[in-house]
This record gives sequence, structure tokens and C-alpha cells, in this order.
Amino acid sequence: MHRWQWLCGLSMLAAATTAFRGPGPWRGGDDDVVQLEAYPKAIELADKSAYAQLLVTGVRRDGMRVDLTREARLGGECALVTVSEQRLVRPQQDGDGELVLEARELSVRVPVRVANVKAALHPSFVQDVVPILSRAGCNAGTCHGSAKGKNGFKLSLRGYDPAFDHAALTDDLAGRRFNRAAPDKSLFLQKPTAAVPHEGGQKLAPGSADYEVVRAWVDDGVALDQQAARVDHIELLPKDPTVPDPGMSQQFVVLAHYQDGRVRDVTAHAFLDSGNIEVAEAQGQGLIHTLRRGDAPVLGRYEGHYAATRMFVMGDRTGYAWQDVPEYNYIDTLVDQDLRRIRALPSELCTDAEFVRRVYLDLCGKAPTRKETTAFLLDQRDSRQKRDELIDRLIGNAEFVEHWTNRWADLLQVNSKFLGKDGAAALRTWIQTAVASNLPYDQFARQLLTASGSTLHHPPAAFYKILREPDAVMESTTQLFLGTRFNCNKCHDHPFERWTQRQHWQLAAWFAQVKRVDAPGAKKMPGKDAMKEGEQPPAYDELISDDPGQPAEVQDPDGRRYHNVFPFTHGGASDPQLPLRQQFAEWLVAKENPYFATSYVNRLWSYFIGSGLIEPVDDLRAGNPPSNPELLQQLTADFLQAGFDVRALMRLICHSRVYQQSVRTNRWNQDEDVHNSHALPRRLPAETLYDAVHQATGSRPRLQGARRGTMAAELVDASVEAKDGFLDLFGRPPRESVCECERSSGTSLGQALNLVNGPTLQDAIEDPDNDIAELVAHEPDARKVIGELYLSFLCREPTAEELQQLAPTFDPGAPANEAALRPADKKELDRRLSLFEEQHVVPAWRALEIGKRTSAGGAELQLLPDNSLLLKGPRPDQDSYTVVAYTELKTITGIRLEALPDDSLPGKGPGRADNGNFVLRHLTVTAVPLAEPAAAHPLALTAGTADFAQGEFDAAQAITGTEKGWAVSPSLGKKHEAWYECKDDGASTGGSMLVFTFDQPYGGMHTLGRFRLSVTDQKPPIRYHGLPDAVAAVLAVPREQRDEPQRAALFRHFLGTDQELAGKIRLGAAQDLTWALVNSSTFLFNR
Amino acid sequence: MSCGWLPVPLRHVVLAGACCSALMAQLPAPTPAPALKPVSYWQQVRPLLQGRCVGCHQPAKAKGELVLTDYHSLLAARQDKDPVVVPGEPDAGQLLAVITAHDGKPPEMPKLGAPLALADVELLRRWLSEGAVDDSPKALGPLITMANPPVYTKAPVVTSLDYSPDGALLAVSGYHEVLLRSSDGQQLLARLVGLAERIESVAFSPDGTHLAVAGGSPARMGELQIWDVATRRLELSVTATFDSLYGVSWSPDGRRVAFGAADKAVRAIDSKTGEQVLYQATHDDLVLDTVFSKDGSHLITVSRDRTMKLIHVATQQFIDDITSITPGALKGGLMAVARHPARDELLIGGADGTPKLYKMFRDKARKIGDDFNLIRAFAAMPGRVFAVAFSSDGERIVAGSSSSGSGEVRVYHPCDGKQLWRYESPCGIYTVAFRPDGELVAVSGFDGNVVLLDAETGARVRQFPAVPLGSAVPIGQDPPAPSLPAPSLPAPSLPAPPAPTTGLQTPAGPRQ
Repeated sequence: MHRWQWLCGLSMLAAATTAFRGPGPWRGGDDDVVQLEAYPKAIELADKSAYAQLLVTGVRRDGMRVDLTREARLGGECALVTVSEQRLVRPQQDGDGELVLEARELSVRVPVRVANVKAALHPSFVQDVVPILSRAGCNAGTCHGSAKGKNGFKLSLRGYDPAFDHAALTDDLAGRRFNRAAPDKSLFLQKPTAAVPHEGGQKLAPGSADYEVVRAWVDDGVALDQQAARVDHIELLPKDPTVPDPGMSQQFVVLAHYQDGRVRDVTAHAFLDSGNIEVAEAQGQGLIHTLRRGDAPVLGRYEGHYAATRMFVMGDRTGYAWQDVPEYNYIDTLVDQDLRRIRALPSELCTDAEFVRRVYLDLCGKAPTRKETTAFLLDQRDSRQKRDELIDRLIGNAEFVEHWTNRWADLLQVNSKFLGKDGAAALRTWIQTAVASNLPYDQFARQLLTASGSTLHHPPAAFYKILREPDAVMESTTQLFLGTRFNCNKCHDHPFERWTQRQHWQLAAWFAQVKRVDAPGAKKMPGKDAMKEGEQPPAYDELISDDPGQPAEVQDPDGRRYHNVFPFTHGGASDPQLPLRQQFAEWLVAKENPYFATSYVNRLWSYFIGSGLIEPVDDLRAGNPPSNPELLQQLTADFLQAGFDVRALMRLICHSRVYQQSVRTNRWNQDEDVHNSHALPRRLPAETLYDAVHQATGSRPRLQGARRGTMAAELVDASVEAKDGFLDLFGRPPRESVCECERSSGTSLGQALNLVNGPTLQDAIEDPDNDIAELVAHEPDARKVIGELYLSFLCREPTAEELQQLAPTFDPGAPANEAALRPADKKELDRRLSLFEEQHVVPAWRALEIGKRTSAGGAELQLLPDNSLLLKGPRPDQDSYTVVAYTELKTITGIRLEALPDDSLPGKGPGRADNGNFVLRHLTVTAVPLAEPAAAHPLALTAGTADFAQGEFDAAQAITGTEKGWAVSPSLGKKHEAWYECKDDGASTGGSMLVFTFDQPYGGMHTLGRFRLSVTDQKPPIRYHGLPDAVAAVLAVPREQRDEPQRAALFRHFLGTDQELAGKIRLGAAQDLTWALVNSSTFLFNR
Repeated sequence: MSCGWLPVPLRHVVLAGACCSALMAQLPAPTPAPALKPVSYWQQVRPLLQGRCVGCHQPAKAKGELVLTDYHSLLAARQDKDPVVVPGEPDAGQLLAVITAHDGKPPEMPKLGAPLALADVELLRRWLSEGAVDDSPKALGPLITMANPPVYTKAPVVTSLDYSPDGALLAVSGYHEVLLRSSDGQQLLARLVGLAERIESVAFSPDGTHLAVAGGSPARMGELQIWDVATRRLELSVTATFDSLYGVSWSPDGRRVAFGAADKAVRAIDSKTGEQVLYQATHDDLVLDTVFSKDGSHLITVSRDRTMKLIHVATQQFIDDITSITPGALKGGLMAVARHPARDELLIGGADGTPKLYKMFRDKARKIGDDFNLIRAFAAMPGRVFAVAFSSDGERIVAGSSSSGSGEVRVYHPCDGKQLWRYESPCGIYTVAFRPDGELVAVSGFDGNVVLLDAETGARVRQFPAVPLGSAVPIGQDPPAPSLPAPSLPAPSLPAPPAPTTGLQTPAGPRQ
């Protein structure tokens, strides 16, 4: 089908991201190591359970560092310690000595001191035993750490609750799991060593150092030392390493820093994971193996503490050389610095056409109109200058305000389900006012969190109407404003961050005194079906206030109570006399809060660049490092410096070269999409896509439940939808949580199908009142139509190639283009064509055998081989010819007279007048049946038509007896023909003799110069068709016998006569092109 | 000597001979030279199977009707199934087939965890090729016996104690044994050493002539012992299930002994013959304590599944949940049950810390939401209640609890619920008993000390270690081999366990 052909041509939903290519062969050359370094500088092992992980690093001539830890060998005897395959150093005997490590013909020395090897261990449950249980996997979520435990034995998930674990090990079932009298018989040593059947298999080697620690703890009496110093933070070494080539490994060391200042190597008990398993994979024991070029954050976990470091795998970069590119502001400087580090080159700038669409979409949430595009493209100023000017012009305009209002309305759950229609509108208006006035971000958050009073009349207070429980308020607030997920630690400690369950409830307690009462006269909410069963819909308007009478505490589901405590403190001050919410707000928005400004900067960056410096944008944590920490830090500092000026930050980002880079990659950045070396295509959000389709087609949107013409961007509420569910299908957020993840920007089969035949698109594209119809009706030039469509949809002119390919599809005469017609129109076309054929019968003319002929004026009628008669001899002023001819036809229904040109005639004829004209005043025919000559009778000619007539001198005049007759000036020197229909007078079976008289008394030698006669017995009417010869020739062929060129010729001729259908074909072509343009990745994506 | 610690690329191995032979003496021993010693079942194959296979293929689970805990079960034929191993023909049995990858699919076994290392598969293949020789050491018999009782450096947890009906004897649980002491605890009169390592529950018969002991070796076997008190002779040793037995109780006529088990079932045996006379498996978790009704017609059981259930002894039928059946009404597993000496009233204690008194029989139709049989809930104690008991006159009750390293004993009036006194223990209390004369309450628990309390005031009268402490040589490090008897009681829910089982006592491989 026509349309599909297009879709294939322009690649529907083109791939949005660049695939990560495999690295080239390793040509780094590892033999140019010029220096060897070891970590630690000195090893001190203070008891027999202590250990130290070695790191041996080679420094190459090119400055790159390469991990040689496992390659290094011991270059001398050291009886004090053993060194394992992973280069873990464990004590063997007391004393002082040194280790010599050798690699690549270099060596490095590490002093060693070992003490207390013989002394009994006195392990701590909290510091020593729990980490062993964690490392062995006992308390993993898949084993005894699961919610219900395993096989009747439950531990806290990953050991977050040592007291619980201690009770499980020593008190459950009257101390079943340990055995003080015979420590080795302790069930929790026999199970993990698989000495007794253990479904989890062997997790602890009998006699291993870990086994000895646990055993010593049993031997000591299984004490719980809750007061033992806990881990304060952990550290990963080396920091931010770059691994030269895929396939290499990197050893890491994990250090635990305890609250009492002690630092301990915990590599063998920590967990290390790769944050990007396509680039690197963890192989246990602190080793990360690299697979391909790229970034792999390395995440360390130990005892509920997390740290991350960024590892980069360089891969073969032979031939790479940095090329200076313009740096518009410090964003570019910091990005370029990062790109130099990873040896990538940025993409070139995007074109002006790409830029204008991008900047409108990003700042205003809409594509530019054709007019806006054209104005920008035609602006002849320096590109950077006009871009900057456009950015500054768009920031703050009405569409900008609308767009950023919507962004916040999504996150703040502006939803009539929670607020009623008026409430939702009021909250949206408040947001709009804030955006329009560029309310500083900290004030925005503060106003929202501290709002009191009627939710209807003081809309920010509605935040507390939507979120009704302290923990829900707290979870939403932290996710929204701190970019942290404090909901994970509601039921257990956060699995990827240091936040504890206790901190969750303590933070929630700041909202314990929020009071909600129905406002006087408040209505109940209408949307009952949205509520849970049995739940009363909240009143339409509530009064929000602080109730200092309420205890500042919350209760968890187990009944434990928690007072308000912040999970971390910072330098910012907060007045303890203020209501709790205000204290919370001050703590939240303080410049000293390390999350508040950073999380918003990161969020904004993601809005403009397509990916946050931290992803997901609302998951800031130690284990999720930014791709460019320096940039994030500088942007944050700037944002704070500018007093939380959101527009200034947007301006800064948009003015950067980085923002204006092309999506097209080069050889040096094609495998990179987290370091901002090129733009990232982003699928248009549902509302933007919807509006873009309507703007470009000029069709007025029809959203159900909204006034006709309302754009999706103007909707207050997420309940309004297109009839085919377009907005939800394309991922509009339901506004039921504060998570950015509510909006889906993915692509799906459902979307693809909707894009090729969905009602929303169909209605917009085929709307008879839209701009496309208007354009096609008034612009006959197909190239101009195509050009305007390209500008409207893709914000660019079509290429010459595209024009050449597309223009023919607008030609109504090309039969293939009839496919552009709608089925009803196609049927109509068929009907009209049949009618046309019926009305344009071309009879089969039969030649006559010419007999005797005379000229009253004495001229000679010479019979030519083509059976025509040419006048020769005298050229009288007037004349009358008589021609006798014979036919075998039984009946005669029509006569054709062809007036033919001839070089011998004046003006080439066909008449004998000086200019070649003639006037045939009277044509009469007498039929003489050959079988019955007595029955001779005149043939009555009833209608005359001709291909051409001179004004009123038409062919019919020659048979009506008027004083005019048929003449053909000024179409002289050409062939003309007149057809005469005659009543069938029943000519005889043997044929007839026909006697023609041509009475030509006009004078001035206006007589026929050359002519031919033929007859037909075809059923009347016999009317001259007026068709070009070629078409007439086609029509003369029976329909089923016509070949393709014949059909094409007929079709083209017919549509030339039917402007309405021709217009429809052109419109269909324009619509088909529109479908294809909508389905192109350039339209669907912000590129 | 060479570099055993370097699985490095080949080029380094070339260097190894030059640099390492003299220098790396401190490194772990190299892998064996090509002159291969025959593979040892005991030293190599058995630990491998223990580590990777036995978690599922063990008597308590026997997935695929297969037990791999010892040589004989490994070679045992299975009904309608191919043999697991055929000595001398590595590929004839199932073993290698299921642990190796075929057609690109990962090995079928183990179901959990990574496939076996190739070296391990090769080891098994070699062992099979060499004829699958059994080099398990001969069973030596138990090392800890009546003649060779345990020697303690540290006291084990005391899980149970009981006074003889005449009040003359106090039986206290030890490790591998029950200790009989004089009523005041001062004299150690006898040490009843049995097979079970861990004693869970002791109870004198109503006439005082016999002592029933429930226990076992955790995760391996359960044993019920019946001792003749006068002669200190073990009259009956009945093994059941593959884990410890709990909560032993006598029928009032002394003919039956009931006990709970980790397999969620309750059983009763004939106290003379050992024959099983009752089996009921309605509970959903460990059955931790039992008691008979006053006339012996019914058996009451409590479980970690939070319920107390009533069973008709003659028909072995489950009658009713005595506790509420309202969803969410029950808090925490139940660990102890005791019956009023004169009435069918039941005292229970459990993880919610609240001792409760229940009527045994329902005299009103049950309605959802009711807890009709509940007579009284006593004041909540800190932590979990592990033990409850009535005084012999039924006028007082005692309960012991354990909470985060400390414990409490409380005595209440059962009629009005009034608390008479409270004793704060420095450790968790797991067992309590009134002396029949009503003058003393004996309690013990986590720290292994028995404490005698004045039954009127709660004042501590005396404290002594439950076991004799002395030798510096820790007990329990016996070499391999005493045979564990196969369970003698059938467990209908499980396939018949293979016999005999051997050698599960020690950790895999010899310890240094």
C-alpha cells in the first residue's frame, strides 16, 4: 500500500540511542610500565583475623595506570604472612619484615608487622560476626534475610538489625543454634559448613579464618556488643580508576572507617558490584573484570554503608587526538575536560533547523510553528547570536510558563481525583504564578511545605491534602526535593544506601503535627470510584494547620514510636521554636543541605540534556555517582550563588555548546552516551506529541471532556483524554506520585500501531478543515506543498532528493496516486470514469468505397490512397460537391466527415479559401439500397458535433438549413472532423449507395479542400468525444483489452476533466506524506 | 615447591621455576603432581557432596527420593529409577549426567547455586572409574557414654528441668545427658548420658519411676529416651524425624508419652514398648510443647505457628483450635503449655510475652472474632515466655521469659491474675518448675545456672551450675563416626529413611 511504502522509507520509531559498540583490539602495549606502586605502603596485622588486600599498580609510560595486583609475584621470603591468589595478606607469625612485590621487572617493597597471632580472638558480634554472616550470604534476601526467613530461621536483611540477629542465633528456640559447651557443634557453624544438611550448601569453610572468628565468639559466650563502634563510612580504592583496555581487571580495596576513628581493611567481607554490567562485571573478592569500553560505577557495600567510585575502561583509542572546539561557557569547559579524560570528541553543533525545534520543545514544551521556524531560519545573523537571542526570548514567555507549570503539576500531583476540579485548577494556578514570577526554587519548596489554611484558597496547602500521612509526606518530599528514595527504608534499612528504617520514621515524625479538618461548607469529592473500597472521599476543601498539641512522633506498623530527628545535619540553622513543618522546610532548603540544590540542578540538566548527571534523577546516593561530578558541583554552586534562580540556570545550560550539540555521533563518541559528548534523542512527551500533531496539521484538538481546540498542554488534570487513549498510551503520568518515573518515554508496539492508524492522528491529518486541506486547495505546486509540510512537521526544508522523490506522488494523473484516495472517493472515481466512458463512445468508423464525384464549380476531386478526396483544378468562389459512395453496412447510424489539411491547399487547408478555411453550409445524404434502388430516400441527419467550430459556425449548422454552416477558422492547417448522427432508415441487406452533397455557397472560395467520409452502424448517440487522439484511440479499444499505458493515458485525461477528484488525490498525497512525516524519528523525537 | 598461588598466563609459569622454588616456601602447597593418588570417598567425595548436594538430598527432604549423606545411600537402588552411581562405570549412573552441561543447557544439578567446578566433576569421575571405593572409617560407636560422660569447660544452655513427683529429685538438661540432682540441687546423683546431643525437654512419669527425655542432634535426628529412674537405666530409645524432639509429656496413667517435633507433627508412643500410638500433623510449624488432659483422653499441643490445638487421643483426630482463629489475633509463636493439676485449664506462654489461661473445651459455638476459651491473660512479661508451670496445688503459676540478654520469672495467682512476685534474671529463662512441696521454684536458662527461688517471695535461695565444670579440654570434638540410628518411628509424611546413616557429626574435612 502506498502509505506503508512511506512508513518504511522514513523508518518508523527510529532507534533512539546509539548502540554500544564493542571495543577494538587491545593495542595498548602493556610492556611499557615504568614504575610500580603498592598499596598499602605498610602492612600492620594486629591479630590473627586481620588481613590486608594488596594493590599493585604499574604506571605506564603514557601515564595510564594498570592493575598488576594478581600478576605481581613475591620477590622474597616473608614467613610472617601468607599471600593468597587474590593477594590478600594474612598473618602467619609475629614479627617485622617486608614483602617484595615484583612485576614487569620492577619491584616494590612493603614493610610488614604482625602481632598477636597466637593470642585468642575475642570477636565482636557487631563488628566481626555480622559481616561474616553477610559475606556468607546467610542474611541475603534470597536466604534467611527474606521476609519469612528460610527453613524456620530468619535474620535481618543484610544484617541491618544486629539485636534481632543476635536473638535469632542465641535465644530462639532456647538457644538451639549455638552450643557453648561444644562450640563446633553449634548449629550455625554446622549448617554453613554443610556438616549437617544445609540447602544453601557450604558457605563457610571449616577452619577458615571466618569460621575461627565465629567459633571464638561462641567460645567467648555469644555476647551482643551493641555499643561497639559502628562503621561511619566506607572507602573504595583506587579512586576513579581508568582501565586501559577491556578484558583487563581491576582489584579494589574496601576500607571501613569506624566511628571511633579506626580504619580496617574489609575487602574480603565487602560486596563489590558493577553498576554497568555491559562494561564490567564483579568477580568477587574485590575484583572487577572489564568487558568493553565505557563507564562502570563500582559500588561497594559493607555493613549498611555504601560507596561508589567511577571506573572507566578506555579501550583502543589509536589515532585519537583532541581537537579544540568552541567553549561557550564553563559547562563546555568541564564537559570537554571529561571528554579528554575518556578520549572522546564532542559532536558538531546541531543545525539551526534542529536547534529551533529543540529549544522550543525544551523551553516551551512545543514544536515551533512553521512561521517561527521560517523566521529563525531566514534570520541571517550569526548562528550563535540568533540562538542566544531565541533562548533569551523564549525563557519566560507564555508557553514557557505553561510548560514548566505542567512539569511541576505532574510532580505535585495536580489531579482532580485528589483535589476536585476546582482544587486542581487552583493548585495549578498557584504553580503557574510561581513559574511566571520565577519564584526562587527554595522559596517555592518552602511555600509548599509550610502552607496552611484552605486548600482551595491557599492552594500550596493542597500538598497536605494529597499526601495524608506523615510517612507519605516525608517520602514524597525527600524524593521530590532531595532526590533520595526514603521509601525503601520503610520496612527495613535502605538496601543501597546508609539510611535506616529508624531514620525513615524519625523523618516522618516532622509531619506528625499536620492537622487536616474539613473546611466549613466543604463539599465531598465527586470521584468516588477513584477511592479505595470503604474509604470516604475527603472533603473538597480542607484546612491545613499545625497542631502543637499532637506529640511529635509517629508509630510504625509494629507499634514502635519515633520522634522527629533529621537523618543528617548540616550547617544550616533552623529555629526550634517554629512549628515542626517550618523547621523541616528550613532544614530542607538550606544552602548547606547537600541534596536540595544538587537534586534540582540534576533534574533540570536531565530535562534539557535527556539524561541526568545522576540517573535516575531522584535517586541520589553514595552508590550512584554522577557522570561528571565537577560539572554537577559547579552548577550547584552557581545555582546557590544566584539565589536558586531557575531561569538563570536554564539559560546557562541552553547557551552552552553542549546543549547545542548534534545527535549525530562521530568515530570518537559513537560508543558514549553518558558524558554529554552528543545530544540524546528524546521521544516527545505525550502531550507535546499530541499538540505538535495538531499544531502542524492545523487541526483543532478534540480532547474528551475539554473544550474543542484545547491543547494537551493546557489541561489542568490528567483525567482528560483523547478518544483513543493517546495521551496515556504515550506515557502521560497519571499524577499519582512525585516520581519522575511516572512519565514513560519508552516506545511500544501499541504506540507504533497508533502512529500508523490511530484515531487521534487520523482525525488530525484527515480533518477537512485543517491546514493541509487548505494548503492543497490553494497551492497547485506540489513542491511548495511538500516544502510547507516539511517545515511544519520537521522544521526544515525538504532536500532536493526528497522533493524529487515526493513531487510525483502529487500528480493526479499518475494512476498509482489514486491509492491516495479514500475508499469512498475511489468508488466515486470508478463511477465517474465509467460514466465518462459511456459518454465518450468512439464508434468504429468504416471507410466508404468512393464512386463518382462531381464539383459544380468544375474542380476535380481526386481520390487519394487514404481514401480521402483532394480538390484540384479550378477554385470557384462557391461550389457544391456530389460524392457517390458505397457501403456494405446494413444500417447507418452515423457519418464522419474529416476535413484534412494538405500541403497543396492554401494555408495547408483544409478549405480552399486563402487562409485554408471552408464553410459547409448544407450537407445532405441520400441512401439508395442497392437491392431495391426504388426505395431511395434521404438520410435524416439529426445531430452534428465537431472537434472544432468557428464560433457559431458549428457542425450542426450544416444540417439545420440555416445560413451559416460549419467552419474552422482560426484552427487552420489542421485536421478537423464533424460527426453526424442519422436516424436509421432501414438500409437494405445488400448495402447501400450513398449520395452526399456538400453545398458551399459562402463565397470567397470557402470550400472543402480535402476530406474523407466514413460511416458507422454503432448504436447512437454518435457525438464527437472531443478527446485527444491518443485517448480516443484507447477508448476505441474494448476496456478489457487495454494495456497499462493505455489505461494511464485514459486516467490522466479523465482526471484532467475532474478537478474535484484530482484535488482529492493531491490532498491524499499530502496526507500520506503527513503520516510519514509524523512517523519519522525527526518528528517523534526531540533531536 | 612451586608457585601454587599464581593462576596467571602461561608466560609467567615459565618464569615460576626460576623465581619461586626457593622463595615462596610460605605459599600454599601446590596442586598434586600427576602421579595421582586414588580418590578418597571419605576425604574428597563426601565433603564435596556435603557442600553441594546434601542440602536437598538428605533424609529430612530426600528430593528425588535420593539421599547422599553416606556411601550406602549413594549406592542404594531407587525404585523405578536409574542408579545414581555404578562403580567402575562413570557414565552408567545418573550422577555425572546431572552435574554436567549438555547441549548448551546448564547442568540440571545443583538446583541452587553455581554448577560444580570442572575439577570437582573430574574428581567424581575419577572416583567412579576407580571403582567408587568406600574408605569411610569404621564406626567407633558413641564416644560420649554413661561410662565416659561429657566434660565441660563451659555450661550449656539449660532448656528443661523437672522435679520428681515426690520432690526428691531434680532432673536438669545438659549436653548429651540429663543430670539428676538432689532436690536442693546440692548433690549430683546421676548422669543419664544418651545419644541425643541436645536435650530439649525432660519429664518425670506421674508415678516418678521413669524419666522421659526429648531431644536430638539438631538438623540430623530426634531421640526420645525413657529412663528407669531407680536403676539409671535407659529403657527405651526411640528415634523420630531428622531433627530434635520437643515438649515431652506423660499421659496421667503413665502409659503414653507425647512429644512435638520440627516436622510439624506431634506423636505419642507407648511408654513400655515404644510403639507409636498417635500421629497428628495439623500444625504449621514446630510443635514445641504438649500436655494431656486430666483424664488422658485428649492431647494439647502448642506450636510456633501461634496456635494451641486439641487432639483426641483414641482416634488421633484433631478436634479444635483452643486459641482464637481470627486472622491476626494471635501474636507470636507459642512455646510452652501446662495443665492445671486438677482442672482442664491450660496455661500457655509464647513470643508475645503474655501468659494466658484457657479452658480446654469449648462450650459455646465458635464465632469468627471470638477468643471464647480464653479465661485470663496475665500481665505481659518482657521478651518471650519460654516456660510456664502450675504449682502442684494449682494455686500459683510461674512463667519464665527471655528478653535481649536478660530474663524474668513471675508468679501469679491463676484465679485473679494477681502477680505475687517477680525475679529479674541476668539471663534468659527457658525453664521453670515448682517443687511439689510448693516451697521452691527452680528456674534456669541461657547461662546454664540453676536458680532456686523461694516460692513465697521470689528470693533467691541458691544458685549452682547445672553441669559439673572442670576440665580444660572442651568436649564435643569427637572424631567421626558413631552411627546414628535411623528413626524408628514412621513419619507418614516422609519417605522411609534409609538405614543406616553414618558420619554426619563432624564438619567436612579434618580440622586442625
